[in-house]
Formats: sequence, structure tokens, C-alpha cells
Amino acid sequence: MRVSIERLTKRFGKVVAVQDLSLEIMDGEFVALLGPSGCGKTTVLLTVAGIYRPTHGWIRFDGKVVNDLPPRERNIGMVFQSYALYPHMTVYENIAFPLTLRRMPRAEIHRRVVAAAQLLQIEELLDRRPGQLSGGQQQRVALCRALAKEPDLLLLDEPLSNLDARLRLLARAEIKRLQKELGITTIFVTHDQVEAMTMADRIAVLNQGVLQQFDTPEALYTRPANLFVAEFIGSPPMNFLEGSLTVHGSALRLTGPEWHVTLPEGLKSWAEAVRDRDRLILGVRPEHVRLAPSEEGELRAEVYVIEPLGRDVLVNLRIGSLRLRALVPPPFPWKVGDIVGLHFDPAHLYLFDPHTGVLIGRS
Amino acid sequence: MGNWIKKGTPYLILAALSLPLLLLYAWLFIGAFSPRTHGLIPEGFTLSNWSFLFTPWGNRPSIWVAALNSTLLAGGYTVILLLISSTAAYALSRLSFRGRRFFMMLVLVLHAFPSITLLIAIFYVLRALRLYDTLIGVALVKTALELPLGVWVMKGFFDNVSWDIEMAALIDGCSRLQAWRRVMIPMVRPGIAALAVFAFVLGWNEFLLPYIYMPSARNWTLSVFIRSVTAGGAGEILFVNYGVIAAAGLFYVLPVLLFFLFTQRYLLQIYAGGVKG
Amino acid sequence: MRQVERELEVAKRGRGFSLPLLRIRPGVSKQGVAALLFLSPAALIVLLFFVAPVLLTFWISMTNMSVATLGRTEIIGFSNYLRILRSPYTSRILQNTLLYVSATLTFNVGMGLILALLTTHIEERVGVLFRALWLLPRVTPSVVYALLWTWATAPAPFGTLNQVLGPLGLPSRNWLTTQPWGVIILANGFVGASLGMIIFTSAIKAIPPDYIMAAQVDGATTWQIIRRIILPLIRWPIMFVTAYQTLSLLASFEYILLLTEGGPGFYRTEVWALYAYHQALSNYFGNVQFGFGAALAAVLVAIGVVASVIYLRVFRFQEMMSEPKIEGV
Repeated sequence: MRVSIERLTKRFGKVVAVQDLSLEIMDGEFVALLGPSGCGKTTVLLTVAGIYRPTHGWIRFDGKVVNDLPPRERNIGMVFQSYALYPHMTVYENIAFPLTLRRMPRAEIHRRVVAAAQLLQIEELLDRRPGQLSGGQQQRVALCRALAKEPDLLLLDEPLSNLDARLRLLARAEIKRLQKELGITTIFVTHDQVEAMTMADRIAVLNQGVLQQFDTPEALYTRPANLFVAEFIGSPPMNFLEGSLTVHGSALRLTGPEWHVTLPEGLKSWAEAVRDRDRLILGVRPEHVRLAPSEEGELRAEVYVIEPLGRDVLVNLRIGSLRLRALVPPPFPWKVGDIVGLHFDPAHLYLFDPHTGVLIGRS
Repeated sequence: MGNWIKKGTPYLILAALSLPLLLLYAWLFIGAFSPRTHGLIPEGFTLSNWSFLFTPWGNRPSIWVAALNSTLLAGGYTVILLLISSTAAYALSRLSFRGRRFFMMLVLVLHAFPSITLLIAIFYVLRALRLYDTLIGVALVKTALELPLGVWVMKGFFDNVSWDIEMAALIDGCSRLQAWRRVMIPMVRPGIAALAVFAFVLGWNEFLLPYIYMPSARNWTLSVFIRSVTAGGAGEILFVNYGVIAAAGLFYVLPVLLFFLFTQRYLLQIYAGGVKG
Repeated sequence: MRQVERELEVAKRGRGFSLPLLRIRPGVSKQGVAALLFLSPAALIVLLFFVAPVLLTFWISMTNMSVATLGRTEIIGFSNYLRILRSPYTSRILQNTLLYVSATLTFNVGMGLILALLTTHIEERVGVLFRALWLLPRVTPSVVYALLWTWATAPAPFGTLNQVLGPLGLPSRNWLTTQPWGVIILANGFVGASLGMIIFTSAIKAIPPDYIMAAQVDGATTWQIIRRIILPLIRWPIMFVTAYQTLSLLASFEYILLLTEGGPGFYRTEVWALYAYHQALSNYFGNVQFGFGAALAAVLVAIGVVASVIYLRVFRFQEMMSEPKIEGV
């Protein structure tokens, strides 16, 4: 089923939870709503579910406006962060509940419950009560209940955040596999960018109720629309250097209080187009910072903290009051307090407007 | 040694403070089974005090009729109270509608309001409704008096049910009414049990309402029955057989005491939750 | 009961609350209709047994309704209230009421506090036992409870009190007739203390143990911890219990009725609420004066309405209101 969110605004009293949001979600697509807590992503989900009514705007399922349709007529499956299993029913009854409400014949209900339970490998749990299940099992039951009704749309509200790290990895892969296998249009709410990046076909990044960017994970990473997305996507986050543009012969430089960077060819034309701006922000991801002996680098920085991550070493550096992070392969030959030289990979630099936060250009 | 005294002091004080209570209740058990007592010291053992269970007591109705009336009053009023408070409390806890604030305030004001002051006027309301001297009338009045507490307590229990559960029910295909009946009510079962225990004990014990609004002997509850034996105050009471009265009192209070032993937890919940601001 | 069922039935047949009614009156939301269904039984009860009686109380208080004037009741304005002011008994009743409320309240709150502090400072299992014991009077039928006190305070050789005091050299007496106030206040207090006990206990238990431990580490004595930490932290519950019980004591008369009927002698222990009851519903001399009794009750009703509205303000109503989270249905 195709889901269209058109110019959706949702207010609670005076608080604007979602503002003028438009998203077009294709049939069978897996979309993540990503943002920090309180950004309005759960509000969007519950509005699509019919629990909240839009203040303005429309929700369409396959082109048909469903604003006035109560949740029970929307044929939606939903998994809540708390799983919301009915504690007074057994697992079997939980999964069968949506089906009994549709007055389905008992044999058919049984067939569907068992099939869904097999799909999620929870057959041996059917007689238990939710209180007797582990977190991971509860999560499977919740997913099973949502899928057994064969919904047109699956809504997942932070379904992984109550699992421990190991289970989360497993569940992540499993949900992705199931979604592709069943081909159900899915909206997934999360605050964890890794979850969104690994699972979703496309990600809508929200901040304070406003859509920042709606694109594929790869595009969000390589072409962030603004400072918020650039900082939110990617771990550790992008480094930002704010300075003013100065001309040195044919070269353009971004100059800060204790540093300056010559802009590479790829960024020059972009920078020239906005020469009238007094200040610009240069963005560079930690993985695109190279370290060198102090006399070789374009910039000189002091090693401040060293965090070995196993596959990489995360180095915190400082140049005066400026803090930078670099992600470099081990072994790391320097120690805290050493002065090192820095290079920025000229092919992966970004320029942002400090006033609007919008991306001006990238190399 | 010093530590032992320090640890023991609170126990001693508590025991001393509670001694009068123990002595009060001890008499009921001793007196009911002895022909006479001096203070708490019985003069022998007898079961003859309990003859009222089988033979009429003066020209009073059988005590079993009174027991039946007490049961009907307590049971009937408990059912009505549960029904009305669980519906109203659900609306106040979960539905948004105009006047919700007003209703909430009303419940709270009525909760603090000393409703016993309305006894006189309620007399006329009952007469107007032709419910004076009927069990259902008294049950309704008792329901009214406990309704603010009932709604308040049940609202507390509904408030504690996670919104996710109710949202899940609606998405799973429930109408609001179905969600209430099939998901919300089972979720607040502990609350319903607590309120039911509380209400039943209150109804069983009720004295003033049946005494004032159900004067006919056929409607007597146990409280009115026992009052008819002890009435006249301290002066008169000495001329009747105290042992028999103790037995009758024990007969009346025993179900409550047994009930109390097993359901104390529930009662504490209501007392603590019902009046807390 | 019937009515609720019928309404529920209607709602069910109409598949939830999407009744055609909605289209006729667009101003009413779906939840409004649901709320109406859920609230109407409670609203009816409140209307019949709270709103109507409050109005009736004031109306009857303006009439000369009594057994003598039955059938030719007239509205006589504020005469009944003037009669209260002029009555020679009023000051006696007022004094009695004041004594009763203040003494019982002091016992209730003080004893409740002592019990809560003691039972939370001993082993929990024993504490529970003592609290259960003190709850006993509250769950005992009032007629039986009054009987227990009547017996305990009876003259020798029957009464337990005299038996205990006898060896100390005190002459036997019928305490209920010689010291009626003492007995009434104690009897009421042993019931009332449990409310404070329960509420203070849960308030004390809610205090984070860190506070107490920090104070102990700082070398505070138990008494200092109680005075400096526990009491300030349970200030609100104490105020609440005091306020709540003042109001209910003012209106209560059940135990006095059962113990002394307002006697012995002439209005010795008659309090305002009992006086109103006697005048309006159970007059000694057979001349039941509804109007005058209603005027007496109206004074209490007025105090009750005003006080309960004030409590509402003081005890922060706003914090209890949270908005519902479901809108669509």
C-alpha cells in the first residue's frame, strides 16, 4: 500500500509537534522516521495509525484520504516500544485478538496464528503469558501479533530500544528480512541512526517537527541537506570549522582564530558563488581526516584524548578552542599532548551556510 | 544491652498504645461464650448465648432475615457502585470531552464534602422517588455517598494503564467500547477487586442509612437489629444479658474480620489511594 | 444498572460510537458521545443525591415544615436561622462541637503520626501487624464498636476499665455517664487515627532512603532525623489529613449517637450535626421540625461546600489533570 502524508501539521494545544510534513511512501517500501527524542516522529506514526487526528493536512492510503477513518478500519499492524502486549491474555490470545475482533472463523484464526508463530519461531511460547517472557520474546510476540492480521501497513515505534545490544543486532536483521519477504509497507520510528541506516530503504530525518531530509541512507551520508543532518547521520559526527573566507592570490581560504584551510578545487566554485557571505562552515567527517607528522600537515593540532575502538582509533584533537575528531587506522604512533599535522581529504569536504544551516556545496 | 533497649523501645510503646484495642476486642470473644464475665474474666463456658440463631429474640424478626438484608444491601450496592464508578472513571481518565475539567473538579469537591450533612434532604428525595423504606433506595444512597471515592480510586487505576495498551487495542480493531470492556477492564481488575472488598465491608457495616431510611422490621439489617438490642445506652444495657449481645455482635462482625484477614492489602490500597490528594 | 446496559447495547449495535446522530449534530465529537454514555449514570446519581439534596436543604430551611404543620407548609424566610441565633442551646451545642472536633482531631493526627513513625521504624512484618490491628476499628461495624466501648466502660463488676483501674484504688464508676466526652473522643480517635497512620506511613515510605542514610552518616540521632527530615517532608500529607478530618468530624455524629445519644442529661454531648439530625428526623418529643433541622444542616452544608472548594485549590488540582492521548476514536 502507498502511504502519502500531505502537508501534515499536528498541534497539541499551543505546542507544534509536527509542521507541514509531506512524505510519499511507496508500496512495499521500508521507511525510517529518524530524529532525536521529542522531534515529533512518534506523533507522525500515531497520526498515520489514526490515534491522533491531523490539525491540518491529509493522510492518504493508496490515494484515498483516511483522516476520518478510525484505527480499526485502517488495517494496520503496529509494534510499540513497550510492546503493549495484553497481560491478561496468553500469547496465543494476544495474536488471535485482532482476528477474533474481525469475527474470523476459529479454524482460520488458528491457522493464521500458528503460521505467524512459525514465521517468528515462537510456537513454544503460545501458551505463556506476556509476564513470563523475556524482552526479546515479547518483541517477537508483538511483531507476530502485528503481522498475523496481514496488515497493509506495518508501523514500528522504536521496537528495538528495549533490547540488549546483542539481541538488537539479531532483531534488526530479522525485521529487515521479514519486511522484504512479506513486502509490507513499513514505517519505522527510531532515534538511532545506525538502526535507520542499516534497515531502511529511505530515511526521513525530523527535527523539532520539521522534515530535514528524506532520502536513501547513502544519500543522507554523502549529501546531507543541512548541518542538522550532517551532524545527526554518521558516527562519530562530522567536524565543523566555522571561519571567514579570505582570498590569497588564486586560492580561497577559510580562516579561523588559530587556523586556516585552503579550499580544494572542488569547493572553490561553490565558495565563490557565496563570496558575499562573511562566514562559512566547513564540514569534514572524522574518517576523512588524515594524520601526519607535525611538519607535514596543513593544520597543526594537539592530541587530546585517544579512544581505541578496535578496528579504528578515534582521536580527539584540539587547535586552540576548536575540537576535532579523527578516525584513523591503528596503530596510532602518537601520545596525548603530541602535536600532529592534519590533512582533510579534498574529495569529501562540505560547505554550510552558518545562518540557515543549509548545505552550500560539496567537493 | 543498650542497643537492645534502643531496638525494643518502639515495640514496647506500640504494644502499650495498642493494648486498649486488644482488650476491647478480647471481650467480644470471651463474652460470647460465657454466662457472665467480670471484666475479661469469664465465669465458665457456655453456648447458650447463641440460642438467638434458632429461636426468636423477643418480637424481633429472625436474625437470619437481618443477615440476608445486610448481604443484599452490601452486595447490591457494591455491584452498582462498581458499575457506575468504572464507567465514569474511564471517561474521566481516558476520554476528552467538553466539561471534563468540570466533572473532575466535581468529583474532588464531592470527595471532600461531608455528605452526611445531606441526610435530612435525602429523606425527601427518597420519598419523592418512592424508594423510602426499600433496600434499593438505601443501596442507591450508599452508592451516592461512596461514588466520589469510587470514581477517584478507579480513575487512579485507569490512569496507570499504559496508553500503548489502549492504542494497541484500537489498532487491533476495537471500538472504544470494546477496548474498555475487553482490554481496559481486565487491566484494572486489581482495582475493581480492591474497591469491591472495600465497598462490601462498608455496606455490611452501614448503620445510619438503613436505620433512618428503612425503619420497617422486615427490612432490618444486622446493624439495626443489634442496635435494637443495645439501644437505650449504658443505663439500660445492664439489664439485658450481655453474653447474648456479645454473641450477636460477634455473629455480625465475624464475617468482616475473616474477610479483613485475607483482604487487608486491598483495603489499605483504597484508604491510602482514595484520600491522598 | 439497567440503563447502563441498555446504553451499552445501543452503542454496540451502532458499531462503536459512529452513530448517525453525529452527522446531525456536528458539534459533538465521537468521544463526547462516548463520555455521555459513560458518565450519565454517575451524573444521575450525583444529581439525585447531591445536587438535589443541597438545594432541598436550603429550601426546607426556609419553611416551617414540621409534623405539626404538615400539609400547610409555608415559606418563612430566614426565621429558622434567626431561631438558631436566638436559641439558648446554640452556644452549648457550639461548645460541644468545638470540643469534639478539636480534641478528636488532635488525637487522630497525633496518634496517626506516632503510629506511622513507630511502625516504620521497626521490622516491617511486625509493623504491618500493628497497622492491621489499628485498622480493625475502621472495619468493625459501628454498632458493634460502640458496644465494645459501652461494655469496657461499664461499672464494676462488668467493665474492663474498672477492673484494670480497681487495683490502683480508683472507685468504680460508669465511665460513659460520668466521663462521656472522654469516652467519645477516645472511641472516635481509635477509629480516626488509622487514616493518618496509613497516609503518613506511605508518605514516610516514599522518602528516598538516601536522605535518612546521609543524615545518619552525618551523625544525626533518630529524633533529629524525625524532626529535621521526616516531618518537613510529610508536611503536605499532615495538612491534608488535618483538613480532611476537620470537615468530616464536623459533620459526623454516628458514634456519639450510638454511645450517648447526645446525653447523658440535657445535650451534654450533643454536637451540631447530631442536633440537626435530632431536630429533623428523630425528635425526642415527637415534634419533628424539618425546617429548623434543615436550617441547622444547611449551616454545615454551606461550610462543607466552601471548605471542599478551598481544599481543591490548596491541594493543587492542576497536577492531577493530564490530557487524554487518544483523539481519533
